[in-house]
Amino acid sequence: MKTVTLSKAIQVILFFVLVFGGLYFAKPFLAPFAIAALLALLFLPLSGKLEKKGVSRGLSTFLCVLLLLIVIAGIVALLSAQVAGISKDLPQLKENVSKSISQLQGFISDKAGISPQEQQKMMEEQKSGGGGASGKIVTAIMGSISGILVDTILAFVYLFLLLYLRTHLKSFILKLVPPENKENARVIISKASKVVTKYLTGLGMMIMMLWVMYGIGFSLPV
Amino acid sequence: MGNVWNWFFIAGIKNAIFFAILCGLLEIIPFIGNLAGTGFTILMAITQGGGSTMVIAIIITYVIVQFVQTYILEPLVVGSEVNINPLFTIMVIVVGELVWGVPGMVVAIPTLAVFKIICDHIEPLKPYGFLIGSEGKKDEENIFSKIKGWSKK
Repeated sequence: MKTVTLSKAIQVILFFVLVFGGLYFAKPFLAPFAIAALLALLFLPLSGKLEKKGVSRGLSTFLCVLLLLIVIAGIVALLSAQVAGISKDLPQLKENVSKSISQLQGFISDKAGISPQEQQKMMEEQKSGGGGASGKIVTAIMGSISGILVDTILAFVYLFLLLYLRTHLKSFILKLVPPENKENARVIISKASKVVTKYLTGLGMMIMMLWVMYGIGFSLPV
Repeated sequence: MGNVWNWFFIAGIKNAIFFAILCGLLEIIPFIGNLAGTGFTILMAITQGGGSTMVIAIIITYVIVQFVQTYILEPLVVGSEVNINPLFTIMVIVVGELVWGVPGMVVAIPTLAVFKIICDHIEPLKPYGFLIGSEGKKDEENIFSKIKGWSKK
């Protein structure tokens, strides 16, 4: 009978702790890289097609990255144009919000017996608890925005280099495996990249269909 | 044409396109994304002074879109390429969120799909590939490997 020794169990537990702990602490490095790697697999077929038409590796990679940039810029432009429209209505929105708040206050004083003045006082107490919080929030937001910007640029650089050096990287993996397993490794690489490509293109197409569906649903007159 | 659009946007939610794009984009984050998007849209509709009919209309839209997505779009577009059973899909997304936050949830499913393929092709890891995989896909895999066998001959 095969027995499970304690040291074996400890090895398994240690393995999981190290994997997930390592992933957790390596997030700032690994997250942009992982996203870039997935995007590289998404653009693999397009880059390959361009190269078949005689475009050089460098140019085809550049075109793929450029396409991604244009798509992202387009979405950001669309969203920010809409946000501008929303911020134009801001005074009206504020009025609506304060109206709903006073309604809510009335509801609370009806049901819980706390008058609007008392509620106001409670809110003030809550706020004064975190004195100078707004300054902290602004710094935090600025920090996270600059962090996201740096990560995005990093992801683009990784994406470019991963696409550009893909043959090099693939040969490295194939060099690692012993000769009798080379064919298997090749199959794994091609299948894995295909799965990610299919998943991401599918996701992209689904999002576009959802835009149309939500767009119609949300703008339909009620 | 302009009149028609005006009429649409006055009657529906203001900046409907913005919310449509947002809800679509949030689909990148599995499970939570579409709920967050719809919740935000409802909140904004209320602050815009929309009544309960508008909220109900948003919820109806959400339900219809969810239905179409799960039963028509997903099988058609994303397909059965990613053979992971629901248990591990949810688990990997939760783990992804805990370890990496939002990027973790985005990366989780494709990473697990790659992991499964690696497991499926390395003899000692095969049970784990089977564990992650969806039930009843065994026959399909057999057909697949048969075809592969023919092409090799």
